[in-house]
Amino acid sequence: MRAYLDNAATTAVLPQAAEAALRAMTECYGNPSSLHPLGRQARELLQQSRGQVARAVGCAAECLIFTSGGTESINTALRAAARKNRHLGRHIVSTSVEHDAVLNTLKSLGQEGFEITLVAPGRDGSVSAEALCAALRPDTILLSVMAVNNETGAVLPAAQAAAALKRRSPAALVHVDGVQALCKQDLPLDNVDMASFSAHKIGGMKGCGALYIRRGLAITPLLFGGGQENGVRSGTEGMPQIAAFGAACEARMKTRAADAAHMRALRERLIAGARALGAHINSPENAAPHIVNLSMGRGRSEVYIRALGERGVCVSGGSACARGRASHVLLAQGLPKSNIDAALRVSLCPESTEEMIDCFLEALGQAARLF
Amino acid sequence: MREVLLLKCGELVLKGLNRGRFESRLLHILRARLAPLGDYRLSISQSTVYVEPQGDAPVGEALEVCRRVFGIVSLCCAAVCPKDMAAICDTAARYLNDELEHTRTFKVEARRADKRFPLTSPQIGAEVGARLLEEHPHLRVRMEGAERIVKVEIREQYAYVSGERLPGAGGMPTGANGRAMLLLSGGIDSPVAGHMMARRGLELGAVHFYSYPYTSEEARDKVIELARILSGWTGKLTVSVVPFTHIQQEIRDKCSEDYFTLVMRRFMMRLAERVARHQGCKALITGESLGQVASQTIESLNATGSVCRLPVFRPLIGMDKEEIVVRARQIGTFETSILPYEDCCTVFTPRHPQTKPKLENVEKQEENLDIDGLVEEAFAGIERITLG
Repeated sequence: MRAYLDNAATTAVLPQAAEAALRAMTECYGNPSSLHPLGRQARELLQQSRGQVARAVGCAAECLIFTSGGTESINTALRAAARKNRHLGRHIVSTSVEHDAVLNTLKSLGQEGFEITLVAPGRDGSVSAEALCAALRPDTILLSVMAVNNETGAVLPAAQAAAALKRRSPAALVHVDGVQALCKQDLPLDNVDMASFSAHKIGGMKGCGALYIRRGLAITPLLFGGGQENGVRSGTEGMPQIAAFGAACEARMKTRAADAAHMRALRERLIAGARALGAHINSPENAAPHIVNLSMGRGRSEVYIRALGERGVCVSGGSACARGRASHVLLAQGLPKSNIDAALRVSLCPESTEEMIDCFLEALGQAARLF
Repeated sequence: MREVLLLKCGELVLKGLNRGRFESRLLHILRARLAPLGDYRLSISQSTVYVEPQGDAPVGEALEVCRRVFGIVSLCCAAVCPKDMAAICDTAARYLNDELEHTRTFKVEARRADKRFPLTSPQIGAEVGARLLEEHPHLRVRMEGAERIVKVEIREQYAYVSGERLPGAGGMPTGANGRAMLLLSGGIDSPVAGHMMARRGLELGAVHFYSYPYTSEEARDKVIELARILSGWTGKLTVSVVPFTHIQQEIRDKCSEDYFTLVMRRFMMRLAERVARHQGCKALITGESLGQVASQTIESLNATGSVCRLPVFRPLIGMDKEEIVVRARQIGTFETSILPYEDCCTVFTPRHPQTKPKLENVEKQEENLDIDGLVEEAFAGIERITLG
C-alpha cells in the first residue's frame, strides 16, 4: 500500500497502543472487578487509561465511561436524554449531516413520538450557528450536534448552539458527537451534557469508545448487568482495547499541535493539487485539517476507488459505512448530482506524508481519464 | 433397513438406437456427480437407474444431487428386502409407517420382473395392501386417483418397496446434444437460459465480460457464484472471464453514443463465438427476450446476431419477465442475480439508445475500430475459472 488516505474510516493502531493491548492480554489480564492482585492491576490499568482518555477529551476522569464504540456511546446518550426529558417536551434538534448512528437513533425516537428537526448545511457544507439556534423551540429537550463532520471535515458550531439552548432551557440536554474531533480539535464541554468518542479513529483499536457524561447527570443505561462503569455500561471492560485507547490518546496529545499543523499543510497541498486537476472541493474552507471531500465532476466514486486502489491508494467515497449509497451529507449540501456521484473523501493522519498526497493526485489524474 | 435410489429415465427411452449411448452418458454423469459423496453402485434396467449406496454413503444427499441431474423424470428412495412375502409386507409397513399416518387414500402397484416369483402382481398388491390397511385402519383403497401409490417391485435378487415419488429435473443427459457457450451476465435471465439449454442435453461453457475498474470484483464474484449454482445442475462448468474494459473505452471514444450498446453487444457475440470455437462449442446461448430492452428488439437482435456464424439459441425469447423470474427461483439463481452490483452493460449506457438500428449504420459505426485486434487482445487476456 503506497498511500492509505482513509483515516476517517479507521486508522492503523499506533505501536504504543498495540503494546498496551498486548500487555493487557498477556500480563495484566485480570478482570478489573476481581479482588485478587491481578484484578487490582487491571483496575489500576483501567483507571490509568480513563485518565489518559479524559485528558484528551478535556474532562475529569470520573465523567468518562468506556463503551464498545462511537455507535454505542451515541445510542446510549440520545436514548437516555430523550427518556430523561420526555416530561418537559418532545422536540429534538440535530443536523442533516450527522453520522447514521445519530440519524437512525433519532429516527427510532421519532417513531416513539418525538419530533425531530434536522438543520441543513449550506452549499459549502458548513452549518451556521444562526440556523441551529433558529430551530430551537421552548419545548426542545435535546440538541445533538457533531463537532466535525466525518465526510467533509466541516466544523460545526456545537458550542454556540449549546450555549443558546442552555440560556433558553437550562434543563434541555446537549449531546456532541466528537468522534472526528478527538485529538484533532478543541472540544469545549461548557454547555455539553454528553459527548461520544471512538478509539479506532485516533490509532486505537476497533470495538472501543467512550462517553462523556457531565458530573451529576444520572442516565438510564442501554445494557443491564454487573453494573460496571458506574452502572451505565455493564459488561466486563474490554481491557486490551481500553488500554490501547488510553495509550493512543496520550501519544496523540503529546504532538497534537504539530500534527495539526502538519495535516493542515498536507490538506492545502492536496486541495491545490486537486484544483489544478479540475476537482471541485466539497469541504468548507475552515474545515478540520484531516478530511477533504472532492469531486472530479464526472464518473462514479466506486470506479475511482477501484482505479486508485489499483495504484495503491486507499480513499473512500463519502462515509465508509454508506457502501455506495449517495452521500446524505452531500445531498443535504445541495451539490449537483455529478459531484455527489463522483465524490471522494481523502482523510489524513499525522503519519500521512507529502509523497502520499502526490501519489493520490497522480492516481486521481489517471483515474479521471476513465471517463 | 437398506435403502436405494430408483431414478426413472425420461425421454431417452424413446431414442431408439441412440438409447445405449444416452444411457451410458447418464450413468457416467451420475457417477461423476455422486463421487464426492461416497461409493455408489449404479445399474440400469428397463429405463430405471438403481443407485445403491455402499458402506456409509448417504442416501438423502444422493437424492438431492440426483434431483438436479438432467435426463431423470422422477425419482424415489426405496427399501430393499428379501423376495419373501412376509419380509415384503413387514418392510412396507415399517418403511411407510410415518408417511401413511398422513395419507388418506392409497393403492399398491406391484411388478414382477422375476416371473418365477410364486405370486402374480395383483396378488402381491392385494397382500401388501391388506397388511398396510391392518396397520393404518384410517386408510382407504382407491384404484383411481389414490393420494399415494405404493410400488412394490420383485427383481432378480431383491424386492423393492418405494417411498414417495419426486419429480426429477427432466430433459436429456448433459452432453447428449453437444456443447454450447452461454453468455453469462450477472442478471436474472442468462442463468435461466443456460439452465434451459443444458436441460436439452447441452454441455455448457460460459463467457463473462469484465470491465474493471468500471465494474467491481464483487460483480465478478457474483457471476462466479451464479456459475457455481448453475454447475449444481450442469456439472463442471468453466467460465471464461474476458477483459472488456479496453473495448468499451474504444467504443466510447470512437462511436456515437446511441450505438454504444449495440456495438458492445456485437463485440460480445464475436468474442463468445471466438471462445466457443476454441472450446469446441457448436452454438451460442443468450438470455435475450424479445423487446425487453433496447438491444433486444428484432432490429437489434439482427444487428448483434449477424456478427456470428454459429447458431444463437435464445430460449427466453418468447417469455415474460415474470416467467423468467419463476424459473430463476426454481433453479436457485434469483437471490444471487438481484444482488446490486453493476455489470458491464451499465457502463457508458446511452441516454437514448437506438431501438431500430439499420445494419449498415451499425457497421459504419465500427469503421474506426480495429475489430480483429481488439477481439484478439481480449481473447488473449481471458481468465478461466472452473466450478463444480
